[in-house]
Amino acid sequence: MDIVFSRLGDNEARFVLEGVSDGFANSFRRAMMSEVPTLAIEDVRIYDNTSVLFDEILASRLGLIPIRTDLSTYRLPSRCECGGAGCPRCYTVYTLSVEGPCMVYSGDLVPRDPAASPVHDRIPILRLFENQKLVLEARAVLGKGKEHSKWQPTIACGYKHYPVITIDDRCDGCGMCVDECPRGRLANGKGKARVIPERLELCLLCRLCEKACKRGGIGSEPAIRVDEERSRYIFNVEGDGSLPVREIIKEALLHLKESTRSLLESLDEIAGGTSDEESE
Amino acid sequence: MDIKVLELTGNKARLVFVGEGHTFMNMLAEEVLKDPAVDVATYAMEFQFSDPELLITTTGKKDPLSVLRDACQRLIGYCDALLESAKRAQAQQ
Repeated sequence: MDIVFSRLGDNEARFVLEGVSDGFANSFRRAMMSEVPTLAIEDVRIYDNTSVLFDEILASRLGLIPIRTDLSTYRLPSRCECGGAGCPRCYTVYTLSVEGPCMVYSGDLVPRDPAASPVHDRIPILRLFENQKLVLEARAVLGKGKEHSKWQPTIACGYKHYPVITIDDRCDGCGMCVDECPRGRLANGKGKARVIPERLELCLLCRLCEKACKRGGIGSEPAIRVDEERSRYIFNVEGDGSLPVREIIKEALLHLKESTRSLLESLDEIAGGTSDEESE
Repeated sequence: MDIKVLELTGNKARLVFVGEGHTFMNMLAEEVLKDPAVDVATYAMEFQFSDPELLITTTGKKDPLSVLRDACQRLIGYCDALLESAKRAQAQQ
């Protein structure tokens, strides 16, 4: 059971997850996408909108802007002490006031909490023409991706099995598999194809090399074989900038742990209940 | 976690996990199935947004709830190991 990072930045990570089952790997992926909370604009109060866009479309566009999130500052409204009524711990406010002609960008939103500013300043919201005006107040709350994709902290999040490539003795070094590979992970060695170790993880498991090998007239079985290693996965996680990827990974694992722990507690209650009945 | 017990005998349990989805159930059902004392461990969601129903039957050596509890312990162990491993890997960077 191990995580080995081959790349770890603020917005993207690539790592090998080892020693877990298919179900766990998939749950981990799903948890990263839909169970890690981020901030997104949820309510918009529009004071003046004389632009060409309807209020509803405008609100939808505002919602999709990624916002930098500090999970230690904000809480999910459902878990907040205020009971979701609205307090500084569970929402933050943005104001926007622009007059045309100009383009309205996400950077025109003025946040009450500077730490919760939009990730990018140059996301176009709409274009205002002569004598058009837009004045609004927006409220961002924490939410989860399973409710709406605007709360998803990841853009791309997926995994594949670790590739295992074996080249047997029948390889005559014709080089057809080398030319065919879209990821250039093969090279011609001494009369035989070989795998370039640092490019192995790029393998798409497309098996074009196997087909190319068979086309070379080697018989019904290709000399090169691509297999998947069980219980070893290459994960690729890209964040939208609202949360650093390392935090997405941590929060997802904590969520899985927390759900399991709460199941254990419920099981104890059930077991306690049934043993009480028996003793009566 | 809110659980409804539909059926509970010495070697069979049917439980409804209120408010859970594939994210949790997929992992749990697979982990329960790893136990050699388990015969069947599967979950079903009648409709897309229904609460999942987990069915566990055992060969009789263990009761379904203790099987489930063991699986939970293992899952918590995996999460802890991965959290620790991720922390160590990030500290090295």
